[in-house]
Amino acid sequence: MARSSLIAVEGLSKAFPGPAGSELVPVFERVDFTVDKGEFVCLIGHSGCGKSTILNVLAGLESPTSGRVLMDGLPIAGPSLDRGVVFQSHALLPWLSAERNVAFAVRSRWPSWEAGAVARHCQEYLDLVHLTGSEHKKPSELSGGMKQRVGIARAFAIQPKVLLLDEPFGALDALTRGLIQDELLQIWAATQQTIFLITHDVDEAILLADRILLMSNGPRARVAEAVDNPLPRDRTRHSMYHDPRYYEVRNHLLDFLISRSGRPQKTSSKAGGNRLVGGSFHAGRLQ
Amino acid sequence: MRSAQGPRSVFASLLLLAIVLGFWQLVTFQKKAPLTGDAEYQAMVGAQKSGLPTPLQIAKTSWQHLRHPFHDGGANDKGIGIQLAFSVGRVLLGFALAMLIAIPLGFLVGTSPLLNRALNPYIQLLKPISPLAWMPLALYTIRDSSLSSIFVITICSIWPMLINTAHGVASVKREWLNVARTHEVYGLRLALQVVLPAAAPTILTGMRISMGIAWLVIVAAEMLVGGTGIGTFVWNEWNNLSLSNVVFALLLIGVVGMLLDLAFGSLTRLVSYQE
Repeated sequence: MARSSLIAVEGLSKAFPGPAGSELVPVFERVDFTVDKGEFVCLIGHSGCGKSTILNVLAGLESPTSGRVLMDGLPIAGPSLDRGVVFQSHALLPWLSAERNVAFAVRSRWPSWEAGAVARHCQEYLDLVHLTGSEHKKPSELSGGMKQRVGIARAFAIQPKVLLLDEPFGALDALTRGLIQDELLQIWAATQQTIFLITHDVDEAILLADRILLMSNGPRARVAEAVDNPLPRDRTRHSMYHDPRYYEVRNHLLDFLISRSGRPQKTSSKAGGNRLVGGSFHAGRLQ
Repeated sequence: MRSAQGPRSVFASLLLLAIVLGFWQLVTFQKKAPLTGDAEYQAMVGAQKSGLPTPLQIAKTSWQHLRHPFHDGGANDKGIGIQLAFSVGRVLLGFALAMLIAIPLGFLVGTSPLLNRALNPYIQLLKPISPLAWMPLALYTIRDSSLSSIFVITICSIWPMLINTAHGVASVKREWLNVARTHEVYGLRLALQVVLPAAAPTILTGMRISMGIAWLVIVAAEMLVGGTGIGTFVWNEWNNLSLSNVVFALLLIGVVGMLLDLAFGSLTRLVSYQE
């Protein structure tokens, strides 16, 4: 299974110095999972469990204390244009317009392109996130949702092998969040991108993800379960609430986050979940 | 709010000017009436005859100078425009030289915490030295008064630029650097397209402070070493006891300093960004 995966995370752990300053406290340890090509995977967990650190390791921005991440069978050594990142804080360069923020990425990916080709490519992706007409606005002139759209356009525009999204909708209001989630699904359907998304929103995970990884609380957090999403791929925010399976998944995820995430999980003994996920917890996807 | 306050503040400014000029005229106007009190004492403190020019006299002097600003009648008779141009030229040259040193060095210091800590004691030691104190060393080694003034300008301009560049570069947001890293942007492109625009407002603030100091220092430096320049002009007119020329020069120094500052102010606005 791991051989054919695009990304394989193997025995990953990360430790930071504790409050005393001397001894290392592992935020998470022995984290294993894989992401297949074209798959949409969500990692969900409480704040402080090291979700963002895992994403930073995948992005190559941080190095793990132990374990490794393979992409196409090769270990990740540092940041790469093969892995696009949408940052939680959108991280746009404030002195550049929306279009030039995207162009910054496009020029990095294809340095030999002429200005016209860069502009066309940028426009294509700005249109994709419905920013037509706001290309020349600076980030300070854009709303939070529009800023994050630019961030998404910038990440998609470089056509990476995998997109890493770090709670991209965390700072947005519910209405905007829903709109951009729909857009993200459309783009995903159109581009067949592999996406790895971090969230703490259960509904977001169920709407977007093929597979949902559940993380226990830190310190010593683990990826405790992998839940295959039983809802049909053509689900929308409106249709999914009418599917009885939605409530089963939702209850299962909430049950985990509320009552079972606190203690370190053993690799078996998830009574409630097997029916939903076809017996694919650690035995299947998690090695 | 600004538009409503505008005319009123202009009116207040003009009123203040009128009061000051009126008071000045009153104090410096030579009275024909005999002075009261001990005449010997009055003579001793110089109250009998005021040497200070009246505003009207200064206006006349100014007009004389401004009619032929670029008049050149030899080494000791140059128009005020030429004198100013020499001073501004020295400042700009010394300033440009300081930029060439301070900004690249500031980049290095800002990116390397090690270098920052290693250089900090020297910067702290050299910074408070009055730039004019360098003059003897400069004159001895360079053996040219004009070049020595430029050197002194360079020395005094370096510190604010260096410190601000280092600070601006060191405080570039981590997320912007992460954006650069995930796009595999390193080296010169990172410096020019991410770090420089991010730090530009801080760097320009440093340049603005440096320019202010440089303009303060050039007058003193020229008083010290002579040659053509506004500082020399002030000193020569003091030796001529022509105070209206001195006051005229003071006003011009203020105006030029203000214009230089305004120029840097608008440059700063050009590169500043809102987050």
